[in-house]
Amino acid sequence: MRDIDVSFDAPPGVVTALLGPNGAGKSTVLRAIADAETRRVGLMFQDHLLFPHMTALDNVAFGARSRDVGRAWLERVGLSAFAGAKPRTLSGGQAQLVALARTLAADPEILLLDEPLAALDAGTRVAVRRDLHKFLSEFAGPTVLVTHDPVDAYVLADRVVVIEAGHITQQGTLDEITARPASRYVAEMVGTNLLRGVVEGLRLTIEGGLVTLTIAEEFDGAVLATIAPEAVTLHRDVTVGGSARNQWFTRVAHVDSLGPRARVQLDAPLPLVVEVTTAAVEELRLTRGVEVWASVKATEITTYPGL
Amino acid sequence: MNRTRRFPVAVVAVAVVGAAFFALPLFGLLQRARWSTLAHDLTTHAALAALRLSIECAIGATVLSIVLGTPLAWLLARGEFRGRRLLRALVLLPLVLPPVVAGVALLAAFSVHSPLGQLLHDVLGVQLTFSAAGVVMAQTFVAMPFYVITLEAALAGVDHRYEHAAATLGASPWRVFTRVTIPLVAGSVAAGGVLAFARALGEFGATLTFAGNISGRTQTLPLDVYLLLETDPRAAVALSLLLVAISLGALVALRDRWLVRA
Repeated sequence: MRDIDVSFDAPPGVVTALLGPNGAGKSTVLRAIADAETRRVGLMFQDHLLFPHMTALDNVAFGARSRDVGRAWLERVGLSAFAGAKPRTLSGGQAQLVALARTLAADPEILLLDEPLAALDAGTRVAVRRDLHKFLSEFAGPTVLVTHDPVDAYVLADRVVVIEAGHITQQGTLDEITARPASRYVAEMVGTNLLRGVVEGLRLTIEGGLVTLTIAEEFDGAVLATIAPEAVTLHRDVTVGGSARNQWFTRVAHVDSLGPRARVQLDAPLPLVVEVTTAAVEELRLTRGVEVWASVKATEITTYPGL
Repeated sequence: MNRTRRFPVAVVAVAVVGAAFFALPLFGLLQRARWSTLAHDLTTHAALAALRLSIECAIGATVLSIVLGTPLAWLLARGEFRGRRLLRALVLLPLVLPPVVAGVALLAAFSVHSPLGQLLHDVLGVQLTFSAAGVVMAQTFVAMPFYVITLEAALAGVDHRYEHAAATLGASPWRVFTRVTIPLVAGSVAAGGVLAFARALGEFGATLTFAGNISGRTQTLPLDVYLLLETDPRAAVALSLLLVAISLGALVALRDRWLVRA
């Protein structure tokens, strides 16, 4: 097994999301917390793991102080009508809500949720996520949520800890992380281009040294830079006298059509993703191998100190 | 005909012979039975007494198998300790042991001439040999392994995460065992119980050796059948048919339960 070295705070009343690609070690971290905790831990999993031989009410009341507490929690998740139902007769969303009620009815001091929405279909996931948000914001203790879905983190979490290959690559509020992604994984997740380079004054030399871009704010030192896919424009010919300070010649690596918009992956020297309209794709006849001029304004390049 | 569904002829032919091997003795029984006197043969005083004793003792052996065998099966399926393989071999030995040898072994351990048997006799006034209790013991000895292997397989297949979930909800190990683990394998408890009951009901060798063949006290149906074969073959066939019927009933009961996995 890979080494995992992770350390973060999970204060009471705060939902901390461990966000990262599959296999990054998030669930292992969660299990380690569960094993090490001396407080009462409430766990929720991708599978609801409701006891199949018990009714919904028996499940919820299993860890509760009394049956009435169980009944009250089933009521709070809005499933009183299913008190006598066996888990296999419940829908995926209902079963996960009963599982949530069962976990909370046991009066946990901390909550650990391992991909609680991952097994649900898209429509159900939205509804259950909304309910989960309500109960998590009412929960007084610390909550740690493992997810690979940024939407979960966005809706449910107050703080995000990004874990990649067993290590924390970034942590903060989701806004902070979105504004300044520290890794390619996060940049792709928030849908922007991430570059690494060195700035001298207004000149940003991209890692590798082949490309130098002009930026709008002076700085000196190693930086990370983001360029939004919409900020790059493509032309068939070199533009003379335009306002964009940066212009370079490249080829189209491939084009992914997404309905009215398309994502164009550029080739070397700057492998950026560019978002254009489908009309532009047709007009410029953008396909794999086509030669284009790309340009971006200095003000569209956001830089911030990076390692 | 679908080519993929064709069978090699030789294999089918041998399988038919194998099936006949099981079917012919049953046909023999049906053929030898005298149906007009069947009801009478089955309701003689001795037959009814043997039937009653058989069923009572087999139920006793089944209950004992479940009470003792459930923790054993759990230990074998879940325990991690040195000697687990040895314990499993020990528990399953009666499956392959000649029942008469089992009877001799039980005699050696529990007869009034053995230290343990003497102790039971002197202190508690209990004599196991040549008593109904001895019948139950002999039957349990040969029948319990059927229950244990059935339940062990089921317990090994239980998703541990249910038990883990129960534990995180604050349940004690005992509560997890009784409220989660065992209910999850309830179907196999029943299936193993039926198997053990059927095996106990047909027990002959160990019973005869350990408990003897005392009419009304230790004479179960199989022993009765064996004796009647000498004196009244027609009645022996009638009682045999009864045993076949009960065994078939057990199999039918199993058909629904056997493959049930929680």
